[in-house]
Amino acid sequence: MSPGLPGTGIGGLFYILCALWMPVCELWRRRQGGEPGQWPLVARQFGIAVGSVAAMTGVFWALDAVLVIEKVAAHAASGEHAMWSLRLSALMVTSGVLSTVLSAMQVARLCLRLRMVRHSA
Amino acid sequence: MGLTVIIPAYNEAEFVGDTIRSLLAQTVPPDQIILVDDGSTDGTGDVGRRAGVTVIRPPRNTGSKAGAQTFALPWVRTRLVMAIDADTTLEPTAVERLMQPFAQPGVGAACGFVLPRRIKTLWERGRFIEYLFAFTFYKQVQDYYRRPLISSGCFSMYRTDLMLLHGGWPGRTLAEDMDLTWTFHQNGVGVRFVPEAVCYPIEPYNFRFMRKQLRRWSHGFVQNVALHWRGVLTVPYLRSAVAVALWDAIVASLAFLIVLPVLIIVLRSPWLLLAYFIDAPAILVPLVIGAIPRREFGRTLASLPSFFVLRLVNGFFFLEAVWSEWLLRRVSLTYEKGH
Repeated sequence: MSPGLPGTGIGGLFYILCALWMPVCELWRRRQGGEPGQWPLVARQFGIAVGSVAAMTGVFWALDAVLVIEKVAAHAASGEHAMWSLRLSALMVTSGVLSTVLSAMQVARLCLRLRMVRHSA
Repeated sequence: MGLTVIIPAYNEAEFVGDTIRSLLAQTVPPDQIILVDDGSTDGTGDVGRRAGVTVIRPPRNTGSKAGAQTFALPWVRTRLVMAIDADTTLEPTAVERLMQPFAQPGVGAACGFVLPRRIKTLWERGRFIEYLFAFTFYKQVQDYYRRPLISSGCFSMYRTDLMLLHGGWPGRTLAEDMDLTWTFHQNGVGVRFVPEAVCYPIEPYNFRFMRKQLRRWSHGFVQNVALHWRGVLTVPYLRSAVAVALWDAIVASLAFLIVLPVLIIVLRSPWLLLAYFIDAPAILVPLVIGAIPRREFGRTLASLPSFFVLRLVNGFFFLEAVWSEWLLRRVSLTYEKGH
């Protein structure tokens, strides 16, 4: 079972960021004398993350192109504006939501810790 | 490292023979196999006895997989204990590989890679994609950060002393595997995912069985969040993974099932239909990487559309679980078998 809906929402971005962070983490672990032999896994997951980012960039490029053609045909807003809005707004909204959820979770953790400290005092 | 395998079974005469044969054919066979015949009426116990395994039968049906597995725990005399579903078969090296993490100090549980044994119907195909994606990408990332979200109940191994210490498999939620995994994480017990240890369960092949399974999993997840949220907040990485999963389960489901249909109708824009499968290329990347070594590329491509159907249905059951458990406060603990 995987709770959440794979591929949708902020989960995809979260795991992509985690996978992109793995080489840095691995370097750190090796310096600390951690478990050897993890590089193939790190390289594979990093590759999946880069591939996923490239795939989504390709999708938005294609969508932008289609929307530009549609908008030009309709004498509406400029193509440049449409390209900015699709690619950047999708990334900004998802990143913003992910940051908010993770921050909210940290705030909840701090509140819980404060409450426990007050109870024990 | 001795190993006992527990097979909880309720009316599994059709499949349990394959499971036992697959266990006996392991490169490292278990010291003992215990089949818990949990009140079956189809001769499940007879299949086990004919295969030469220990068959035990509780006085009455325990009501859940967790109950059946815990019933067998006093019979376990080995250092390790493994639980496997009665409809699940294994790669011949699966047990040997799953034992390896226990050589490290602190590891208390390990789970393997899950793939459906039969991939024919829409539901089995959707589940095949879901598993291939999650076990190739998400779960391996979780394991790298030492926090697998779930040690899957269909095929997991544990240290017996820790299981006894925790009173066996907990039956307080519908997802005993998630409950146990999160309890282990909170208690500092290591949980590992071994991608080379592959198992093949029978997955729901029609909507009737899929509905039961999705209902059980969705309610189980919601119940575990309610039960463990304070403890989960203290576990680095796990807290982020759970928060993100919960957000997606609720918000992405609402978006797919309510917001998008309304927008499509109000704005009369067919472009919005793309939102239902806009992430297909990103999903394809781990799928291709997972499928190529298994020579399943064609099947993966052919099964991809089924995944989008299953995802929508999954979303419905998550929302139903949140509505029922958290808003109406109706806690469901009735274990409905659905493979």
